[in-house]
Amino acid sequence: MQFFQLAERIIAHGNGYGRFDQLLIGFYRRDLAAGRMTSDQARGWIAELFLKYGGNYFAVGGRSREGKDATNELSRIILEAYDLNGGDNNLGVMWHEEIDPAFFNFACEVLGRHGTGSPVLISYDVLRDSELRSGVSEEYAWDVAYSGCQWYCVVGREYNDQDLNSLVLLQPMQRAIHRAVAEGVADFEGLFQILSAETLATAKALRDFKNSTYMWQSRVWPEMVTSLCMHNTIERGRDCTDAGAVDYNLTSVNTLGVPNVSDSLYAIKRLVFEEKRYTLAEVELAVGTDWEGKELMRREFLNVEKFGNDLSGPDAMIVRVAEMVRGHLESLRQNKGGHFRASLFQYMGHTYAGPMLGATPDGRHATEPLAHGMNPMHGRNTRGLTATANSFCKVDFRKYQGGSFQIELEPSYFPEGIRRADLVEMFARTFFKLGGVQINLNIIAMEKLKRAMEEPEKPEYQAIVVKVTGYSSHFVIMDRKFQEEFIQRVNYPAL
Amino acid sequence: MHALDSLPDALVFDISRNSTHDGPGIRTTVFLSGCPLRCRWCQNPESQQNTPGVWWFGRNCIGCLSCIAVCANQALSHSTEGIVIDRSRCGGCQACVSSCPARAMQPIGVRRNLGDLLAEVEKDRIWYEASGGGVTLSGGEPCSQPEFAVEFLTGCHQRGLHTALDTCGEAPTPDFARILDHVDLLLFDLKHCDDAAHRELTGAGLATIHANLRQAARRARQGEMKLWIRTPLIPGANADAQVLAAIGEFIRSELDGVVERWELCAFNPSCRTKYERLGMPWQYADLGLQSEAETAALLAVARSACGRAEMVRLQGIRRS
Repeated sequence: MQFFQLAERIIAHGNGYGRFDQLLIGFYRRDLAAGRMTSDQARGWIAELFLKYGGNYFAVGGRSREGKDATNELSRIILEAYDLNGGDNNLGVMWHEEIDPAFFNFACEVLGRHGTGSPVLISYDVLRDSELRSGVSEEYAWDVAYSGCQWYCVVGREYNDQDLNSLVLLQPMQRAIHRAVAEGVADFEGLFQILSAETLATAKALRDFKNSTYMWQSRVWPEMVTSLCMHNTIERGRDCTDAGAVDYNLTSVNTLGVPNVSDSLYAIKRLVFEEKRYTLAEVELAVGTDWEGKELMRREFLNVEKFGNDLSGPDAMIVRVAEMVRGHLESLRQNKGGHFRASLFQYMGHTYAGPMLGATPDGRHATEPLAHGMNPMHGRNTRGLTATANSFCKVDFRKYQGGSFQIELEPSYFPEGIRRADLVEMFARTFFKLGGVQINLNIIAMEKLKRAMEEPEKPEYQAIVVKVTGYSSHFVIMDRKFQEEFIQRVNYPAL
Repeated sequence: MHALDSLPDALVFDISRNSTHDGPGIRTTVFLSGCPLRCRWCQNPESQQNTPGVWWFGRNCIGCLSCIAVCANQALSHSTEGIVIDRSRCGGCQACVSSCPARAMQPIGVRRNLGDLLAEVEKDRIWYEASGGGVTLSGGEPCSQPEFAVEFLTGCHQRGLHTALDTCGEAPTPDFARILDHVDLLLFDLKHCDDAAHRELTGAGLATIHANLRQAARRARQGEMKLWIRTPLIPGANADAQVLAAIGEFIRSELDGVVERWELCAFNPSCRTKYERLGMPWQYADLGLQSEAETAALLAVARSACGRAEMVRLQGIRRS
């Protein structure tokens, strides 16, 4: 425990803290057998660790080397320790079909009780398959651990370079539209080919940038404590950030704006190339001036079907765009020997990058944020949670380095007389069966509802759903008096 | 196939996926337009007519007036209050909806064909299977489109989907019987047990409703389907210990052993904006939510009157 605290303060990047229940179970059982401590004490100490250091990226659950359920008595104690505190934490529970059902139900109960996204629920098999696909051998891939916002790595053998880069897909799209106008491209396939070429150009620039930082990384930013915790670093006399130190060096790339680019392309395909309502030059001009004087045109682009509603057209487009990006990144290798992996995620860029990047042909104004990771753009998924989950899971996440599914639920979504844990578990199991990789579940905060009342037109408030009586309603379209009543009624501290 | 070829499209006013309150599990609820009752408290006034219409959402409107330009019947005009709809002139063509770039003009009732609707409800099959859910046909009154209801529910069964029917019970008994052949769970409204009061509050007496309910009870007793009773708690109409005791007594004496659940649903005034938007007066517009204490007392009355306390559930938001 002390060592974990030490490591947690010194550790820098590229790795998580591993599978907490696997790492400590030996110590725990020996201390218990020798009478050195009780399980209550163990729970208390872990709770104090969480209280003191908050958001450790610890993983529990998953499978053993033999493919069996790896859950042990400490897995539950770790969750109970979190349950004592609540609040922010980055615990991850790695689900699989054979996981101890009582343990997983308890994880869902804790998640439902605190309603703040902890623990994160992750599909272990998707993580493991993704690692196998990235070239990790079967001997080690079983020991994969959730290790960051949506990152994962093979404990002690992989240096996953993450977060310190981003492929902003909007810019290749803007260049592609510019080129397509100049070259007089006549069909959508022509535009997509140019987009593909421009995306590859951006990916190559990213590779060159990463390669130049990797030349210096071990000298300016070594990770000494992490290196001591990893295999082969001492034997080879190299810091884990250096080339040739650890077995697996992979660079995972935050891909920003996939839903916006996909929705943009789909709208262009429909309105420019199929219905011929506008020319591509008109689109370029309109987004270049943030739709100035083009409100009717903007609405037309906004009203084209969007990703996130379980509709085949826009959903097929996003799979195609994501696959295009993935193919280019995987084709490139860095000077540590590994390749680039596409990650359908962005941890903060979507909120502030919008204005810098300009308007987009999906009907988005420059001042609006971008979509969060692979989640549909705010306010555009209007057909319910299952429709959005169905759309989201059309992507094969085994081919990517993660992509979290963000859910904000009102407490009243849960019907009376049904255990919240059971509904969360049912959702999670089905989502994972569809191929999803990670669930971040929030039960919405009152402050957000109040802000939604003040500014109901803002897209980010459109998706808040509340259960009224026999039916559900979007909060922002509800009668104001009722919204006030509702806010008074909602008993948030009791969640 | 000939019957299906001539089957008219359904008029649907809403489809709600991921519904957790219209029967067990996760469900897709399809709401058909048209209702023979005119309950004074109706939560979905836009569902009453069996013809298509439009309504206007002022907050979305950007004032382009393209709706007025396309209306062939001159049913639309504008004032300082926004777009004004003359419902006596509106022919329900919904051209204004298609022309509106801002989604301010929205349809009331959309024609959907059987194949489309079945494809739509099948999209969430995996969620139904995981949760013990399925498809609920609601309204309006779904039995007011009987041909379509029969074919739709048959199609659901052919696809192995669990079916629920949410009904007020006011439908020609032969139609009701044909529809029930394809229903796994019946959600049957009982709003009042006094014929005169029922007529006063909803526009229809209890003769047909009770005949249909007896038929449903017979089927439930034979294990052909399950039966849930639903009662909205309406202030001044039936949210009253005496009325609720009478309904409970009716369930105990007439429906003994065939009702699996009795749901009480607290009154909710949030549909007042719908009435405003439709230009219809609504006598409940100024009422608030019921209190926890008030609904708890009614729940206790219901539990004791029906004789099976555990089957009564209270739903809906209350004031604490």
